[in-house]
Parts: sequence; structure tokens; C-alpha cells
Amino acid sequence: MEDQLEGLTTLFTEFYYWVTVAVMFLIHAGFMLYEAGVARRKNVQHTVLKNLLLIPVVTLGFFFFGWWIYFAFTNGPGLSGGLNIEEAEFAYPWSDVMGPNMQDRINGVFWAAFLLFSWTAASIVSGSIVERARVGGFLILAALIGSVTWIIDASWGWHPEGWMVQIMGYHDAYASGVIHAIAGGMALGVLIVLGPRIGKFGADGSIRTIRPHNIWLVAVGIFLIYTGFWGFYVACNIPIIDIDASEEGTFFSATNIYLMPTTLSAITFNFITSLSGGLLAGYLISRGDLFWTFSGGLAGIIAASAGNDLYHPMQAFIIAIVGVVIAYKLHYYVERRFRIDDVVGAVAVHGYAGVVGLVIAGFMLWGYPAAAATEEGLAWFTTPDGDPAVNPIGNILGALIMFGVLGFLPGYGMAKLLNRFGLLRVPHAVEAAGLDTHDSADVYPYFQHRETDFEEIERTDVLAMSAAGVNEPAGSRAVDGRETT
Amino acid sequence: MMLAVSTGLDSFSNPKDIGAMYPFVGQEWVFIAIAVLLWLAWHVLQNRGESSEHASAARLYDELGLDRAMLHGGSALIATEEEWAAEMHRRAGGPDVPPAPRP
Repeated sequence: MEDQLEGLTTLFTEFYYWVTVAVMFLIHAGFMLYEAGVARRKNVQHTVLKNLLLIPVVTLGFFFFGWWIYFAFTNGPGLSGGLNIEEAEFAYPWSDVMGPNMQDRINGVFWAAFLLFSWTAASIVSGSIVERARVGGFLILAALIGSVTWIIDASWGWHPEGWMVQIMGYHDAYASGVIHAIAGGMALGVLIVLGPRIGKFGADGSIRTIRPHNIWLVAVGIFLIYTGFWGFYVACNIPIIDIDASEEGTFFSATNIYLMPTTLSAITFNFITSLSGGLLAGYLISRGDLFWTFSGGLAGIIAASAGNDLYHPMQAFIIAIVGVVIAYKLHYYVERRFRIDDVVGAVAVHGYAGVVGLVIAGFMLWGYPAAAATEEGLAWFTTPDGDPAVNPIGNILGALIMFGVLGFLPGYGMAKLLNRFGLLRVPHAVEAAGLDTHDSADVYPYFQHRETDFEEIERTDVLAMSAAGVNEPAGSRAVDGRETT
Repeated sequence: MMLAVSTGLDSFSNPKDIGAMYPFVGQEWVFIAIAVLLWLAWHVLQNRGESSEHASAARLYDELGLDRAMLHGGSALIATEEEWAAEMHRRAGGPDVPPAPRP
């Protein structure tokens, strides 16, 4: 860097992404506290370990092949060309810019920003399967979504040259689909195979509430996730770039990931108003339930994220409300109808809210340029300048690809495979007695234990399953139910 | 005294000409191959360890009974013989016997 402007721009960009990475760490502290709070006393250490170990496992996979996938797979399955081998050369794990290099200051911090998204995707799945999934099985699922499937979807729909952007006009600026819908879809696929926690559903069709062991940890955890989300939003932008397409002028601005203009002010407005909409809606619809008020805030942000680069703050506010109401209603419908035990409501908060957000963005931003065209005649719908245009069809199909094709199907398939080898779920006796088995120390050694009715239900269910020689908790197949506590 | 062996750079005096700064440039594949093997082996060892932990726990619960394993809410604190005897006594309708202090 011989010129001062280039030096400042480069060093600012390097520092900018580095800060986002540090802030995004809070998301994972938050997920850990949140899940540990939701888990019962006998499962806390297991839950914490699961969250912690996904960090190294996903990091290595992302170094080995995830980063390369992002640049190599933009053309999709042969839809707008072949593999981008040349463009992705620098992202091979043996490339000399995948380490300290005086001629490259951006690769490492940009890689890490994407990596933190990978952890987030894996953490979302983690929350839904606590209290009965094996650590090893979960880590394989984490490597799958964190190092393979989410980065394929990012390459397709979260890259200015991605085929979904160039052909379909897909727009998803802050990852309603590329992180949240895919993770929600994967969680749903895994949950179907994994089954509910013992005692969650009664043989008579009743649905039992399994209370968090510490609602304070849950509250602090989600607050930290909100805080880390600032880093997530900012990391989705390119901080400084000349966006003037004419030859004579220059106009420096931040852009979204598609290199289309936005501002930090825009996303600050919309992050806060969508959080507000989500909190208000979550509180009202759950009749003041603390857990769903917090989750509503998160779901509100996620619902508005697809278009939060361009929405008016009050549009973001209203979209958040719509997303939360739909996600909440769907959560309980799916739980009742299909006996899905999603412990933290991750499928709803991330999956359903993400899908709703994508669909709404397709309508709200109809006609906006999705990205600069890479090739004439590729896009289904174009702007007057010939660039791919955002449209409802592109975003609806995009939502299906994110939630269904890259989320649900791989999750379901891998869960089936792990289940076949006994790597998905802990033995029922271990589940009932606690995943923090006798080798672990109690997490609250100075607090006396108070036996709850629920433990009796668990013991009875396990003994009944053992006597009947079945491997499925009672009530897993019932179709309607009442809620009890 | 000059250094006789160098694993990479021996001068930062001309930063414009410096690219990769780590030792053994050009041999990255060796470290990557080792890291991939360690990554895969870790999964295998972790899953083995977890299976063995679960099997041992399940055996213990078979031996002691799930009731005793869960007496204190989770198996991290399994009820001692004395505590379990007191519990059995209580369940049989006998008067409460103060549990023996835990070792």
C-alpha cells in the first residue's frame, strides 16, 4: 500500500471486519447461556459443551473447504456456468493468503466474519435438540451446516454473482434465509428423526411444558444474542467502496453483500425498529411470557432482515410483527399436530420467521436492482438498466431452497444416517438420569435438589419403554393434545 | 553471529516484497494434511468416548435402578447406600430417618 488513501481504506476495512468478529462472539456466549438456562440442572454441562465444541469443529471444516465453496459454487448446479475454480484459488486451505501475508489484509478477517455466521447456523440447530442429542452426532450436523450447506446457500444467494441473485433476483441482505431459514429447516429435519424428549408428550395426547432451569440465564443469553447481532448486521456490509457506475465520478458508500448501496444508518434504524416490533408482538401474542417476548424480539429482527438494507424503519417494525405472529402460531400448530419438541423454538424463530421475511421482501422490494448483471439475458426479471430485479417469485423460490432444499433435506438425511449408527440420541436411561452423567459433578453442588413430578414421568416412561421393548417415547405419534404443566 | 538456518524470512527491511510471512511457505499441504487427520480422528475418538460413557452409565443404572440414580434429580450425584436405604424406608411408610452425611 503505497498511497495513503488506499492504505487507510484497506486498514479501515480490515479493522471493521475484525471488530464485527469480536462483537459476533457475543452471539455464541448468548447461545450458550440461553441453552444452558433452558436445559434442566442435570443437562447443563452437556449443553454447554455442545455449544463450545462446535466452535473448533466448524472452524476447521470452514478453513478446509467452507471458504473455498463460497467462491467456487456461485454458478450453482450448472445453472449459470461451471465451478469457479480460478476465482476460488485464493481460498484453498493451502493458498498463501490463508495465513499471515503482507500483500493481503482482508482475507483473514472476511473469512472469520463468514465463519462466525457458520457458528451461528450450527448454534441455531443446537438449541432445538438439547437434552437428548449426543454431542458427537450434533457436531457432525454442525460441521454439515456450518462448513458445507450454509456456505453453499451463501454462494448461491448471498454473493453478487450467485446464480440465485443473477437469475432469480433473490434478495436477502441480512440473511433471513441464508442463515436463519436454512438453520430452521435443518433443525426441523433433525427433530423429526430425533423425536421429543421423554415425557414431553403424554400417551393421552397431552403436551407437557418442561420448564427452563434458569430463566435468568435465558434472558441474559438472548440479550447477548441481540448484542452480537449488531456485529452480524455490520459484517453483512462492505464498509467502503466506490459505487458510482459512471466512468467520470466516484461515490464512496457502504454496500450490502450484493455490492448494492446501503448505509450503516439504514441498518441501525431498521435493526432497532424490527427488534421493537418483535418484542411488542412477542409479548402480546404469548400473553406476557418472558421467553416468547425475548424470542419475539429475535424473530422480529430475522423477519425484517432480508430487506433491512432498504426498508423504512416503520416498514421493518410492521414486518417484524407479522413475522412473529406467524412464527409463534406455526410453532404451536406444528408442536400439536406433528409432535415436534423444539426446545427453544428455533424452527419458528429462525426458520418460519426467516421464510416469512424472504417472502415479504420479494413483494416489498419488487423491482429494486438485486445486483449488477454479470451477463445479459440471464435474469428472469430485469431493471431498466438490465440488472436482475428483486421479485416475489425469486424470493419465494429462494425461501424454499433455503429452508427445504439446503436446510430440511440435508438435516433429515444426516440425522437418519447418524440414527442408524446410534450416534444421534443418548440412551433413554441416560436421558432420564441426566446427560451430565455420573462422571460429571453437579452444576449446583450447594443447592438442594427438589424432586419434580416430571422426573417421575420420565422414569415411568423409560421403564415402560424398556418393558415394552420400544424405542420411542410415549405420545410421539399422537395427533392432538392438551397442554399441561 | 549470523543465523545458519532460516525457516522463512530473515529480514523485514523491504515490506513491499514480502508476501506470506509464516515459516515453511510452500509446504502448507503438510500442515493441512496433519490438521485434517487430527480433525477426523478427533470425531472418531470423541464418539467412541461418548458411547463408552453412555454404556457405562446405562450399566450402572441397570445395576442400581433408575430410581436411585435419579433420587437427587440427576446422576451426577448418585444416592449413597445409606440415602437409598433411607428413601426405601420412607417409601415403605416408615418414619423419616435423617440421611447419613455425604462423605
